[in-house]
Amino acid sequence: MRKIGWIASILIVVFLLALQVDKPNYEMTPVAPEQSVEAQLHPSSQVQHILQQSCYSCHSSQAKIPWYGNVWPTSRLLQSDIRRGRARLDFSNWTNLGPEMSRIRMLDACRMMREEKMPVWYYRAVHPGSAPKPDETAAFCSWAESLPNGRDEVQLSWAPLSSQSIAPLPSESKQVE
Amino acid sequence: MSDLRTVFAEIRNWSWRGNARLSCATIAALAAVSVLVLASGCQRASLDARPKADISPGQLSMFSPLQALPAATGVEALKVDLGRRLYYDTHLSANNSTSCNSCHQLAKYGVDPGQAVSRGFDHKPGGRNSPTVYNSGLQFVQFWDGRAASLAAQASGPMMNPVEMGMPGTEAVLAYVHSNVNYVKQLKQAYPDQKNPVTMENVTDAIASFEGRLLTPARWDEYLKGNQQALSEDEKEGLRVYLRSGCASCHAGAGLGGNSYAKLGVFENWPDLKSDTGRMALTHQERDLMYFKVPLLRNVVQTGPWFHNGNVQTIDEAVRLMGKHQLGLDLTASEVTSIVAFLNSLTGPIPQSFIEPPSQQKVTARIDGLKREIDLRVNPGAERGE
Repeated sequence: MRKIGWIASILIVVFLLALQVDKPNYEMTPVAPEQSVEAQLHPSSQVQHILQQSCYSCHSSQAKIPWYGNVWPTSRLLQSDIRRGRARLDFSNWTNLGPEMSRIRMLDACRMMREEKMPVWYYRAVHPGSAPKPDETAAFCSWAESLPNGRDEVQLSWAPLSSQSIAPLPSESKQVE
Repeated sequence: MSDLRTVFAEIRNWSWRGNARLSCATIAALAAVSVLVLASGCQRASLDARPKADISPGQLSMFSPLQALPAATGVEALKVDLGRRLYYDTHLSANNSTSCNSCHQLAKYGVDPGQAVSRGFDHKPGGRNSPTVYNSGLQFVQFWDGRAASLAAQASGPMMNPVEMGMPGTEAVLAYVHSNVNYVKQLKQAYPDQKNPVTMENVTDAIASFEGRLLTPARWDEYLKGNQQALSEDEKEGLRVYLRSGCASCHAGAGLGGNSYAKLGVFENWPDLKSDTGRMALTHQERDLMYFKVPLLRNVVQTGPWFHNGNVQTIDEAVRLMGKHQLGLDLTASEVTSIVAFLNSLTGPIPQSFIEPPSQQKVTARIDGLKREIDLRVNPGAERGE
């Protein structure tokens, strides 16, 4: 009986070791600093602190991956969470957002923190202290509210032609090359 | 140091044999977790299974209703009227065949229906699908790759594009505008402070003044303002699926899109990465590969074929591809149907009286110092069966 237990254990260990071949790719490519939310929106140091402590692990390309992030099966979970997280919200890549979307994403982040949906419960469990305190959430939310409301500007977006605003067409620029 | 020694002693004394059962349990638990993760990896990422959950006001705060603009008055009304005339004027193309309306047909939700890409003044195909002009003023930038910062900046692009309207340059456009006494008169009235109002800035500003008012409020806006009856049950169910699956991460705001760039193919590469590289062709930056402006979803059901190259023929397929490539979801047929039901609530009526083409008229104008009759009909080419 004991022998079967041993064999089973060894088999399972071998099985787990074999699965370590599945190397995660976190795509933590460095991005230009001017693309980050810090450079784009100039949040206060308190807001920056909240973003770094509560959000950056999954919503930036500047995350520090813990050791278990390279060990199967947790690597799988981390990889999928970070991928999904960054697809929806990436604080390292803020230049792709217009003012309206920039504000929407921040207000949504505020709502997620207020409703304690973010950081996700299992992240909070593994990282005690990662959840923002109520006063931090309040500070974040009032900052998000203060962001320019793109909608008003959007209504005026048929502004007069400015000389530098027309870039060459792709077809033309190809010919130049 | 002594602590370490105790730890080593502990380990030496620790009987592997005695704890075999415990370690077996640990390994078994690990194995169980592994199997679970494997299984969930194989399964499709399933959506939250609470179909009848209420749509929270918080979620709806990501959107904002479209307010119909008050009618233009004074100088603004003159600009709008001038812009409308210019929009329909085929003389702004190299062979008098093509107007803005040729590819962005106002009676057809501002697109070129059925055409993957539109054909320009001499029937050469354009580079990308003609996006709708309706609600385009809501966008933070114009064109699929955002190369124009405003509607006015956009307006001159197609006129001078060698494939689209083919005017050789601003001089040619202004020479024509100059030759049209009506335009010169209207420009003087609309820009009274300027000594010479016949400028490209004013021409494009007038077109933009007209285009900026091409808004199509829909039942969706009534719903956002609080009328629960504005959406049918199917459409509300579609909205739930839309929110659950994460469409609103990019398609939110007043236009449900048009306020960010996104990479086409986040979870799975877009099948064609060669023929159009998106913003990379403009910025020459590797990081912009396959980035496009997120299109508006207002009237989306009416503006097919879909995507930058117009290669997708049905709205269902467009939704399915978005789920697959942008969200990593294999949306079921019923989920797709639901989302499309919701998208239908974003279709607003075309403002018929506002887009009424200027009356067919001929005016006397001076070209090359000679008096000539200018044909101001909407599309003289259409009569010749072109």
